[in-house]
Amino acid sequence: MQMNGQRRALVRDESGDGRLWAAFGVMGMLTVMFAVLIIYSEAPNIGPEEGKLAPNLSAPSHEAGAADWGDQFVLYDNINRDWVEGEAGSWYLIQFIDTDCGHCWTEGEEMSIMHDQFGSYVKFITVGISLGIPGWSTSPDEIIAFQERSDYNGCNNGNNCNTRPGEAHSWTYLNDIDGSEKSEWDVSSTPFAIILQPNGVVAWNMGQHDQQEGGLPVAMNNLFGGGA
Amino acid sequence: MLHELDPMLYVLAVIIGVGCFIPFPQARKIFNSLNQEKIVGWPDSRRMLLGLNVVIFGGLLASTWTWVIHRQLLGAGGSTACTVQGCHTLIGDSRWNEVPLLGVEWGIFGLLAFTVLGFIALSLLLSPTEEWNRTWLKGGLVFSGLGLPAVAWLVLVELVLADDAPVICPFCTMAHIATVASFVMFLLLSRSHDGGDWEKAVEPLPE
Repeated sequence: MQMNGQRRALVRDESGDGRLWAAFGVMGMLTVMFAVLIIYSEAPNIGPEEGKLAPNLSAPSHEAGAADWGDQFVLYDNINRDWVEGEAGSWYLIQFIDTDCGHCWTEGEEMSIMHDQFGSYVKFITVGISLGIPGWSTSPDEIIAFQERSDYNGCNNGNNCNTRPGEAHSWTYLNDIDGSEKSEWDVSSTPFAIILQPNGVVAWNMGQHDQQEGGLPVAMNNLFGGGA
Repeated sequence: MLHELDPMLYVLAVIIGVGCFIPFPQARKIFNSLNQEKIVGWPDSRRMLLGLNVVIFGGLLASTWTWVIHRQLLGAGGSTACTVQGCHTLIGDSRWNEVPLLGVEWGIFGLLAFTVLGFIALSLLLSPTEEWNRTWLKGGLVFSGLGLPAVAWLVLVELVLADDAPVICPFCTMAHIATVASFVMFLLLSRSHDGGDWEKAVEPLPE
């Protein structure tokens, strides 16, 4: 076939539009890619149960003394995925509270003591949630007041937050009042605590143990000995 | 140091490397020695289209692999698909492994982008004498060009922004190379079409 004095190497393909075959080809490639994905990806084993990778936790954070809520805390950005047992690393104590809950109120002192004891190698994180119990109402300001033990009426269902047992809590508090995180952690009552290894794997889940076992303080002692 | 890298990295490097080599004139001799007379007789533009398709396939595989790494990191806390620290630092960190504003993982985004590019490039390879070729070439050029700012951002993350920067995620780098190579090939093909060299017959190989 001659065209403008040059021989065309290819003639028009009359058997069909290449785009149709290209679509089939691309779909075939995508199928191969998804097969690769399924074959090589390990099924996520995520959950709050002991031995599983903890669900991610992403919520606005507040550091003691800060004027307002700060950056979003993202658990998965903080854990050390390469950590292996026996290595040094920062463990995590994730505690869920409702600022109106009486047990959370009294546990404030126990948390202060444990933080003094274990705070150098366990990162404490308290997540403020709302259990939605009629008559209880929490708020971001109330969570901050609970953390800082500051003057604010409303903690423990009507008390001033500055009378909370224990000291001001110097660790990070998160705001999950909208409940976007608590369901993944199977939080049905407060206070609720989970201890994570530095790689994010759940080492201890309060919901999997009877209260007769001694609760959080005994679990901390079992995992970390006498502490600092 | 290379021997410490993950096997899939070799596979990707070979695929993308071969794709980049195919458009060169020397590749015709290799095809000739492999008795691929049909490809030897193809015009340069069509051989470049073949190379482009191979490069895009490499990019598609690299993007999928970063998705595999992310799923392994989520599921097991570690990854056998990439043992280099850079993968953990970048793919395991939601600050860097999500497309800004969209919130989609880069792996999924890359997979979709290379699928679209693959559709364009394969259509051109299979039907190189159609009226719509020019429009599709320009479309491929623009679409692959949109990937360049994304590559620039991710390289900035690797070299400056990430924790412990500079850190290199080799599989991400493979996807970046495939993106840049795709753009360059679309650019050359587009110029070839504009310059009237599209589908021009090639000189016979010297004896």
